[in-house]
Amino acid sequence: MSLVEIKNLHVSVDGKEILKGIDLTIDGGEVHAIMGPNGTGKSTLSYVLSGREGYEVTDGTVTLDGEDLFAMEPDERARAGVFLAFQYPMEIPGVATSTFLKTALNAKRRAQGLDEIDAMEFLKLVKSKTKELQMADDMIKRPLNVGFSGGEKKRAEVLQMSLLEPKFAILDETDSGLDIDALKIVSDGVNALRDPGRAFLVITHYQRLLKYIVPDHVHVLFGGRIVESGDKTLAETLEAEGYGRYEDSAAA
Amino acid sequence: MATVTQEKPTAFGETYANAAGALPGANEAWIDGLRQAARARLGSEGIPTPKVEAWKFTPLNAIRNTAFIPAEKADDVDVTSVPVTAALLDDAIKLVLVNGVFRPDLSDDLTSLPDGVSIDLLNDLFAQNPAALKDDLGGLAAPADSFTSALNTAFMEHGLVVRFTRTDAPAPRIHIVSIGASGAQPVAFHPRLLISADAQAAGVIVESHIGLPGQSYLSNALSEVYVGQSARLQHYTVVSEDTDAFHLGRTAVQGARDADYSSFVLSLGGNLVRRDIQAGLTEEGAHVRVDGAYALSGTQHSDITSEIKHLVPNTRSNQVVKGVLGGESRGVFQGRIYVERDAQGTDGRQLHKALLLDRGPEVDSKPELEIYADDVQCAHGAATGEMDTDHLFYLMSRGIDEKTARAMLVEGFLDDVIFEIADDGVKALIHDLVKGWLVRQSELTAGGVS
Repeated sequence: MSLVEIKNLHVSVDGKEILKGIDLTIDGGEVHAIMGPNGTGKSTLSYVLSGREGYEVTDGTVTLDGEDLFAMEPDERARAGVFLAFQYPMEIPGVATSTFLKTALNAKRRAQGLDEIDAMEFLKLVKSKTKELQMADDMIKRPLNVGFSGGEKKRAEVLQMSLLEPKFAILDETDSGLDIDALKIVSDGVNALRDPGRAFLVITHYQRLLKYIVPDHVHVLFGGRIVESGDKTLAETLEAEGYGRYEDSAAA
Repeated sequence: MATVTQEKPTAFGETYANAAGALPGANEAWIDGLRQAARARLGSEGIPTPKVEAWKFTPLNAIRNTAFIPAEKADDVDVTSVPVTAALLDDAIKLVLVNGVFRPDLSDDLTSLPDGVSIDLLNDLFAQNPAALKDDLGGLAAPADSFTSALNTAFMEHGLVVRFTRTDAPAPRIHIVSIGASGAQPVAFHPRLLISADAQAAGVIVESHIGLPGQSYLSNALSEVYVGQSARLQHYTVVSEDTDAFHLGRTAVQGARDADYSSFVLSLGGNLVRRDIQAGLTEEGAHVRVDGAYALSGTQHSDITSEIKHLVPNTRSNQVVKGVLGGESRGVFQGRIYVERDAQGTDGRQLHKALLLDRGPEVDSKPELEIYADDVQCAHGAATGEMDTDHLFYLMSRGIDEKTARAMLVEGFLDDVIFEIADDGVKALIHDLVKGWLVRQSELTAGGVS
């Protein structure tokens, strides 16, 4: 049994079928990239896996460690090990980043049968992570993502991932809005989390991110289906040739 | 159409009539004149109905239908300690009023105050030194301004006169706790505060309005606030009256040149609460911040009505008011920003946001800009809605269960404006009061009482 198994996944939004039968298996330690043009279902895939409202699964299954993801609420999925790094992380006024991080971490710890983290230990842990990600010290005192630059928001997503240590991390367009320095810092943060017990699904429009987070497998999502799979060289081919060559197959 | 008979304030007019001549200062023509003018207004206009524009969203039927007695006639009232619900501010001079009357036994010693602040009892000054009041009393809150002002002025007797004079740190901090307590019959009381900060002086003043549990009463509090040149005054008002109590309060403030007045009103408790804020920016460089928050449940009614007048060039105002409503409660926000023709360079910002926790609550929001100058920056906004499901999803996607996530978002919604409070002690006090309210709501919901 693989860590993540997606079988024949069909998903509709407002009655319109967006994903038309996705099959994907990801083993622990692997990084899979999903590439494709805009409007092809990439974000739908990330949201349906993490449990956002408004995405109707009409067929198929997804399991994490053999457990049915669709039987779980978003928070249960997260505690079971799913983590979505958002393309556009939400700004939440009035909720201090530190409060949010601690609440999330303790929810996970309780689910694992652990005690809540000690306040000093928590601060120390967060400080070491923010240092790795070259984030400002006062960031965790500020309201969650409010007034953060695009780069700060993405770093904050990686910080959360690093604290919550998911089994299955989904990165949705993590490179968008990042300059090259921030891209490198964020990628280093993700690479540091690569682990035999952890699967990554990296969703991206461009090949740029995959220079830094090198995938084991690359899949092309087009018209709601995976139309081609290959190794990391497929990303380079797509970068050179674009998605035009899939037009015919999608029209079929 | 049926004839509309003018509603007379019988509850106040008849019961109170005899008391009038005996009020201290009655032999001073100007004091008596203020009271007479106020009573004349009450007599001619009565308790406003929703036909009166300013009271359109806040019906006063329950007050009209209650036979309040003057607090001093309630000889069966016994208050021997300050209720824990007062949530006292640390390092502040504590001044306690029971039914509007100062209680030395429950307050800090007025004879050993720190430098930089003076405190007098209003009734003492009425009786012994009325001249000391003449320049300020009634200068900002005239009987003609509103029902609240008229009612207070008609029966003004008790209250405090606080003057900040200290120009170096630390600024004196004062916590006034007004406790409402009825005996067999519901009382009405009319505490009046006269607050001033001298030029360059600084001060922090907190008013907490609370009551004894299970009692109906009317607290009709009025504060006139003078902020002198380059003075810095922080003024915080917590209305946490008891469930069956009524609160009609008003703050009228005037800012001199480069004055800075920061205020916050928290409306948390009471059957019906109306807070009026009137701010006049009368000299250049003056700035006011008049923020607020309310949290309502059951059938509570809370109304925050403000009028900010930019009367001269180059003055600024900021206002953010946020409300959370559950049950079948009703929240009202009326905010008017007025900019005089000569008041070029005015900067006025106003925002009201309400978060509905149920389908039952109602929110009436009436922001108004009235601008006669052409070189100004003014903005206002209002939004009422349910919880943002995207925000909820974001928190839940990190493993936080729905109930906790909702609680965090409600708390954050209010904290967003509470965090703007400059005084850390007051910020913590108000945050804790709101947090306590949220916990009680969550317990009620869990118990199925909602």
